Amino acid sequence: MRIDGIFIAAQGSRRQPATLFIDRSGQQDACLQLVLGDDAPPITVQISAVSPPIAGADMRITLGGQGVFILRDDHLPRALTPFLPPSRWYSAGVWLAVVERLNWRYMAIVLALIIAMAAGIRVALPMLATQIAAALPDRWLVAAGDTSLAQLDNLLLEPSQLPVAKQREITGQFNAILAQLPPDKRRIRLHFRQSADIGPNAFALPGRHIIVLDELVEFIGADSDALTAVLAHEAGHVIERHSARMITEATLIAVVAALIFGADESLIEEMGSMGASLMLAEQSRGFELEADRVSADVLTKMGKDPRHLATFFNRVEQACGAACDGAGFFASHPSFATRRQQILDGTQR
Amino acid sequence: MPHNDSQNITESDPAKLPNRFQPLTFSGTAGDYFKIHFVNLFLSIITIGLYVPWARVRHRRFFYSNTRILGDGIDYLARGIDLLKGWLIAMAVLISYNILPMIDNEYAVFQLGYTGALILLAPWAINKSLQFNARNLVWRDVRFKWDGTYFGVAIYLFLGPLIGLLSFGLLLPIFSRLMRHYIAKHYSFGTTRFTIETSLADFYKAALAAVGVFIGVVMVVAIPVALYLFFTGNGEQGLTSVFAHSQGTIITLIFGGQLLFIGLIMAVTTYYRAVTRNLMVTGLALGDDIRFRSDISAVRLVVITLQNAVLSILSLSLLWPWAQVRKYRYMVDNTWVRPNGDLDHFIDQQQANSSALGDALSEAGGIEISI
Repeated sequence: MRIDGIFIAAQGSRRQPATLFIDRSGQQDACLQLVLGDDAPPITVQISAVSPPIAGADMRITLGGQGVFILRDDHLPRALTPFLPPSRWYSAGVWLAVVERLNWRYMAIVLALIIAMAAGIRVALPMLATQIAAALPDRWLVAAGDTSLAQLDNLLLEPSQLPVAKQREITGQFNAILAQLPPDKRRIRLHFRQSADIGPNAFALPGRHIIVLDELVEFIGADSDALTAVLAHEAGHVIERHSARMITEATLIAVVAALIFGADESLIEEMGSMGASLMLAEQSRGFELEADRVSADVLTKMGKDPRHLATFFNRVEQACGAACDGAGFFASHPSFATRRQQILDGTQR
Repeated sequence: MPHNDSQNITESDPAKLPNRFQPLTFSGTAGDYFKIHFVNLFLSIITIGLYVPWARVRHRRFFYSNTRILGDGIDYLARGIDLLKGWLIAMAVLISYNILPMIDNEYAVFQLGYTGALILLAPWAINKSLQFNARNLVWRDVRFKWDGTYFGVAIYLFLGPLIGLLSFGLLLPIFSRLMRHYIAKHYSFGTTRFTIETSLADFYKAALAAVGVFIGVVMVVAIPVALYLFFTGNGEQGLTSVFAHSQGTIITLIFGGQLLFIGLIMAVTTYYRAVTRNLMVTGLALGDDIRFRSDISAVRLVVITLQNAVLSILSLSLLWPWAQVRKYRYMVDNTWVRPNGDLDHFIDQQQANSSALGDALSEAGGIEISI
């Protein structure tokens, strides 16, 4: 049996055609012999290492101490197997090369498994994030919320211009909401701010802060039940720890992506961050619905109509037209229609 | 499968090689890499990332071994186990960097210090990575060698480009030329050094063309997108309002704008890199007489890069392996070497492996230097 290739002597680039012969003439085990060129006398050689095969590449066979025999093929001839040094890494490499060269039908199975695992991670991450967020000590959330509030005050928010009497009235309304919450969840604080950039809105920070903007109070006007509904919605965000869940999930996604992909090509990173945004936006829409349910619950407990929030949505929609309802895959909030539907479904039950 | 295309060069007497430029060839196929890539991905997911070092080795070996210079592939000798330790440390750094600030505000300060430490560490990691990879690259049983230093890397690979950017690109050609020179001069093949000669005027010409594209791009697309992002306040993390203050369609538009922006930046940088790579490779010499040539068309490479990006996104990254092979093959096919006689006289006196920690750290930082 002869195997043609190229021999390169150790530590130099000199290459020459060479042949490996498997000599079975002796009475004992067969031995491996190297012949340089066509007519040099055969040298008995031993294989000290072989790089695991990889598609398209030459096989690199190290002949202990003497040099390297390059075989122009991406498989090792079976005849050489008895001469290989025992190496678990090499066997694993061979196994890998076999898997990497499975036909397309089997590759389709590998692809399907990848998609299944990705789907598994996709489902498991929000659940895991919720578990972790629930276990976070209050102290941490409060600290995070305090920092956010300070930063927002620096960057975006102005002090409220509402008359003190109006602020008191709203605080009174807010305390009535807190009274409906479980006793350990009543430490939420309401802050009045103003921001022309953000416009009529209210929002919750992690920990214990809810901020209502003058613009929202003006927009709502005399309809105090609508304000109650909105504040209860924000309280829902706080008690359900939505911010913490969101941040935890974002972190988990970043960590899992780093583990699995490393920091690979920047394109994959970009796509990863798009995917993460989609996941987080979907999660965010879920949180909004959850907070809407809290709002409806609180209103019911206070003896009010739980549909005030839905009425409020109608007014927002009328004020800014259909464009306001642009729900989409990247949107942080569900469409008003979806949210109204949930509230109405809740009341009919 | 034997590679017949390279047979006539390689199997003939090397001393009779004609004294003219020969193209490098690539013997891998997209189909082969597709399978390697998805087996890598599968094993990485199922081992929660533990397989990544081995995946990296398979990936690199596929591209290096199939890159044939005068018919012979470049062997990559690093093993997954060599990369694993560094990889674990890099992951610990990355994870603690991401998680600590979530735990307590006090760690926000800590993260700042961490960032500083990582910046100081980066040149070391890059330097070690170049060293590690050079030593593990072998052509005809002669290893490559990198002998850059921490300060050299810090100055030419980090500080220089930074100053170049801060000078609004005015000094960028000077620094990118210095960087390419630094890289070329500190590589050797066995005991033979690489040398390089380029003209600064050519770098300025390349930059002028790229800057022209860049300015046009910024005027038309980037500024409106950036302004929009600024005024709509994308930074609402941890803030949950009662209804969205920017509408879904607009958010989708912003994402579209971001994508467009990334694409255009990609186009400009690819263009500039392609031209300066041509300058570098063409100015490169190994020893006294071995010359190289690169005649990549910058426009063609930009088109390939953008097509690749679009196809990869549209196919949810399914076509990514194909795209990568296509781009790599284009670059290899347009790189040439003029051996000038036989290549039998190179000598290698290096010891085997060095630490792979730097390699893993710079990989984790997403920085990779390749010629």
